[in-house]
Amino acid sequence: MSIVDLEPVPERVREETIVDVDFHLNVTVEELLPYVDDDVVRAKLEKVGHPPGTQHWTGAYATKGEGRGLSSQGEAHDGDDILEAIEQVGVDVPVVTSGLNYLPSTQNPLLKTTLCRAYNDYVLENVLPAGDQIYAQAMIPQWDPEAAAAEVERVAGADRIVGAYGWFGPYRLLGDPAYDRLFEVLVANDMPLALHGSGGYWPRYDPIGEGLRTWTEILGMGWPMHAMMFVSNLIMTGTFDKFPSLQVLVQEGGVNWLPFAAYRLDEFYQDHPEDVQITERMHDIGEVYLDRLPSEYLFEHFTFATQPIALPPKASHFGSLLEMCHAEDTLAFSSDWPHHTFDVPNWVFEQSYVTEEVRARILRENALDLFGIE
Amino acid sequence: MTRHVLGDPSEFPEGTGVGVEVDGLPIAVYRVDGEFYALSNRCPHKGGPMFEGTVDAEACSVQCPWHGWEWDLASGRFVVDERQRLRTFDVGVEGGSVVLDL
Repeated sequence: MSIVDLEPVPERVREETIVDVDFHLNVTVEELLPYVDDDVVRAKLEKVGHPPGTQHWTGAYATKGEGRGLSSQGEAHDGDDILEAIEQVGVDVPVVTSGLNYLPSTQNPLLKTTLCRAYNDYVLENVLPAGDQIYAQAMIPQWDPEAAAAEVERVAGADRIVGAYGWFGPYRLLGDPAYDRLFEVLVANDMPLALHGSGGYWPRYDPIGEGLRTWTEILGMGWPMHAMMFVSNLIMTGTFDKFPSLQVLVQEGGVNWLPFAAYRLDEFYQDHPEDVQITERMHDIGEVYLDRLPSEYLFEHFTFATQPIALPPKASHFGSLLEMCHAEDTLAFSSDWPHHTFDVPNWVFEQSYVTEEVRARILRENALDLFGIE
Repeated sequence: MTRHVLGDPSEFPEGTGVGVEVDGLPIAVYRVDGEFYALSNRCPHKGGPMFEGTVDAEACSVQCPWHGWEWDLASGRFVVDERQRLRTFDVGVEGGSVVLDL
């Protein structure tokens, strides 16, 4: 069910090879039941469906259309649906992502960890076989670092599973050294970690969360703020000093904040570096200072999915932003299909400040490098 | 100003838009609660076809089909920011036909 019309994708855009690093599957818990490998969990999910999460706000408040905005452009339940959808959007290679973004905010770790395994098996059986151009990111139980590492090891050898999919949000930050085990297996398998926005949103238990009133604040600003905290925490706790080949993709966290974060982190760190040595990981490896400036890690270890690109009204400002964001190295195209927040690839062609070279980097090369796709 | 005959009122179903072209200008004509309204057929945001938009009769407005930007049918103003507006045209029924002044 589509509730908005797709902005038409011109022929010129269709002719270009486009990789999409955030193309969602709308799989339901009901569809995953046959893949749930635990009888007790399956029996419970058959009764209750998707476990309840903590979300206190919904996109439906903010639009005249119905629903939560998760099916605004349509729905994909299997690989054939994905092939049909990429044809509409003008995408050639989708790196399919889970649509179960409310899962991390649900309460029961056993239910949700089991659902991660079921989702990945469902993708292997029902999505990837539909076409060689389809790739996927495996959903990992990020709330349990050991289980997350185990799930990466379980699926990493599968053909066209090219990344691990988790979330930024009101959850344990990944600078926690408990996640070193996950980073070890990601690096060993040459897989990037993807972090996507999630339905946890800003928690209600602080005055800001209690005071937020609009979807614009909660999704528009809350997600980038959580993304910034996850990115900063990974950098400042020495994650990339210990794992120099680890790569992270941030999806739906926004892009235009990169220059501020880069130079604010540098400025602050250079003025106040003494606490870095008392982060657990840095203390453990006996390092006093980071090997490099925070901005260098930001621009070299992270890739940012372009949706939401949030174009400024003045084209020359966008040109400056691209340059300041090091777009040629940091941006990878995403549509976020089929969610209400959605970008067709047209802007990559309409913006005069996107050069041919940068366009190729954004539309495919950065994503192919990141995921190791030939 | 020239008066253009657009057609019979029955060609303009209640609660929806119809796309027409007058002197090369793409125009969206709506019939809402028996009243006729006409706006430029091109949404200023991304150029969406306004005649395919969703009409809200109670609010007397229409939402662009592509990204949902909502425009007042009578004034042509963007409901979120009145500084932005779509061109409006005088349209109505005269002598049994729908006519538009341009």
